[in-house]
Amino acid sequence: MKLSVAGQDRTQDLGIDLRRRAEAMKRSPAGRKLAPLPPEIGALALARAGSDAEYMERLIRLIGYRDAVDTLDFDIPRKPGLTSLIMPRLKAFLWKLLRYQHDRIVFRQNLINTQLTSALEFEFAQRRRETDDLKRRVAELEKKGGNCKA
Amino acid sequence: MQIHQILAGYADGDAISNEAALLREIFRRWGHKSEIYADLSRVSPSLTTDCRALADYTAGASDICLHHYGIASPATGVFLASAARKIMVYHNITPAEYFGGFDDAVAAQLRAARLALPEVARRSDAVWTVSQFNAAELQAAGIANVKVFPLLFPPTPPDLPPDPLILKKFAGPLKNILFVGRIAPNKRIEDLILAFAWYHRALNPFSRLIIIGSKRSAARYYTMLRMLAGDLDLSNLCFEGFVSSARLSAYYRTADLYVSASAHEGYCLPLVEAMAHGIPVIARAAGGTPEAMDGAGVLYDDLAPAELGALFDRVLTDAALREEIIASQSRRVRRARERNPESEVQALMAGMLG
Repeated sequence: MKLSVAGQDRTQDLGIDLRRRAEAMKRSPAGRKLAPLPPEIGALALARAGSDAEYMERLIRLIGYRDAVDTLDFDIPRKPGLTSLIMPRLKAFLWKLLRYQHDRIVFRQNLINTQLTSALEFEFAQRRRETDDLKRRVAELEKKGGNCKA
Repeated sequence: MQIHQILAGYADGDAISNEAALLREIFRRWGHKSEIYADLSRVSPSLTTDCRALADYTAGASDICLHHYGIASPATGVFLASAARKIMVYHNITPAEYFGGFDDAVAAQLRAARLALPEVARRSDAVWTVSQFNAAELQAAGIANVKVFPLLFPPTPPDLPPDPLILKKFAGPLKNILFVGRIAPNKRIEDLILAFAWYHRALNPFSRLIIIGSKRSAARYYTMLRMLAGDLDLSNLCFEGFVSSARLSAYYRTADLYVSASAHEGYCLPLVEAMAHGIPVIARAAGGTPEAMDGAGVLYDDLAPAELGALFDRVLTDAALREEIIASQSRRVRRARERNPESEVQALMAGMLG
């Protein structure tokens, strides 16, 4: 770690404080929720693609893991103060009230999403088969025709 | 005498284009005929009348031609074929490895540019760069007599009337963390998003990360960033795309902190722009960034995302630290404003102007 503020090296004081705070964050309930996805299905797997073709292959696979909207409950952040005591409770109540309609819409949306993802995967697989077949045939023709060049 | 400039592209909000326009002003003030020539397919629609097509470029042996070099393009061929005395202005070439998988065609252009660099430099009568970092890179490639001419800080005042709609949208109780720059893999925006996730989830849910910059330069990289935001369930992450100067001014006005995690920069002018707006700046110490920071703001290297998130919090909540940062930045902006570009250019071109 290296850290400088206004041109002065602050690695030894500010840097150590940041490390301590980061450790505390990791132990906190919010920090535990931030556990990363396994590297092979996390979004950053795309950064490890070596070519455009590999990127597309990875993207199609990763979309397959992400085609559904979830219906899980979520935290509503609150600030100190009276208004902030009321507002989160009001929001939580509204969420409960709308939950039935929300889940029905999500169900229908997820149906559409999964169908679209499947169509994309089928299309990608078919194109790849066709390309592989064409490459194989070109290679065979080149082998047979040797010096025939356009 | 004609002093023309040749660019790969000419775009709104682009640091190289802005520099070329400022240099053109200087040359014209000196009484020379001066135009900007660029590949019209890479010119912003709003600037098509402000520059000329590469095909229209002509010059004689007594003229001077500047070429802003950073990527392989037809502009380099026009520059090398020119009869004029040549000055290459090197803006650095992003290592191609950053673009592998995100855009193979751009990666190939960057590789080609790096391959051609010694030849372009050798055939130039003078070589300028925008930072010592770039100069060191050229010297390591065996190119001698490199002169450093740091990117010019635009003379436009930072108090350009801000867009009221943006002010209304982003002013408010949330802490706004800002980044301005092309959405490109070398900018390491994923590091910024991961750090923001820690800050937002563990320290301050009333915060927002605003990213300003064109999404067109690396669309696949942008797709990855959106997916990452989804994985982290970060609804307070705003990709605002390319914005006008008035809008940019509004984003700077509403920002509480400016952060750049970029791993490769030739110079990075938005850091100085953010400082001019009085926003504390945190930047990764990489490439030409320390020169742009020039002893101001916060420079970091090798911080884990949670540590960077904790740094956001310290800068946003520690009043003394914030004051120290802003005071250093004010001094840095003053130094940038005190530069005299005309005399600097005159000194660089001594012996060529006759």
